[in-house]
Amino acid sequence: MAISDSSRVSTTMTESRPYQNRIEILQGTLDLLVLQTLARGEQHGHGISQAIRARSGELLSVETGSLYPALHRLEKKGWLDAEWKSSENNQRAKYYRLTKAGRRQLAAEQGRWQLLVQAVSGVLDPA
Amino acid sequence: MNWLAFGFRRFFKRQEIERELDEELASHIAMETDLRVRAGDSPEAARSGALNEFGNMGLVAEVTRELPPWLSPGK
Repeated sequence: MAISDSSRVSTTMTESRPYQNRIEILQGTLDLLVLQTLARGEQHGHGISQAIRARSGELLSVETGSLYPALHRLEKKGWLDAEWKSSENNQRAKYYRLTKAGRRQLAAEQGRWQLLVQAVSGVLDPA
Repeated sequence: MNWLAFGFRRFFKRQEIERELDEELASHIAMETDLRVRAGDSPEAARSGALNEFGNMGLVAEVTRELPPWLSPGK
């Protein structure tokens, strides 16, 4: 199965050791990470990047140069709504949340991810 | 249609969108700075670290603004 998104974004794989891997992932995968994070509740951009880092066990670090274009793109597509609010530290921040269309898109992205995992597993299978 | 008024509205709307984006990115840096201070950094080191990690703010803003024209303008 072909992945339709051909754009690429960089996500740095961070490790506690000084050595770092840079992994190129498809734009659709970043969308999936953002949509899934917001499925757990509204959040601002900084919070989204922290959540992805924490839930990936500190392995994934989304660059702001990828994150903010993605958030704005998803908002313009109608998958996210945004509202300016006061953050937990009393700072003004732009909070994003999933729309109904965003929830449908999340389901679609989760399906594509499962297919990708199956496809790669098939290739890696030594049998 | 009053094209002049339309042009002014588009110009000011675009200015507002750009100002909001700048504020959003500045807010990110402020929150990262706070996080580092709470982790024990001095305010100066925290801000420097936050700015370093963020990268080129002007470039991030530029890339964020350069979305395909077929995507409809923000609400």
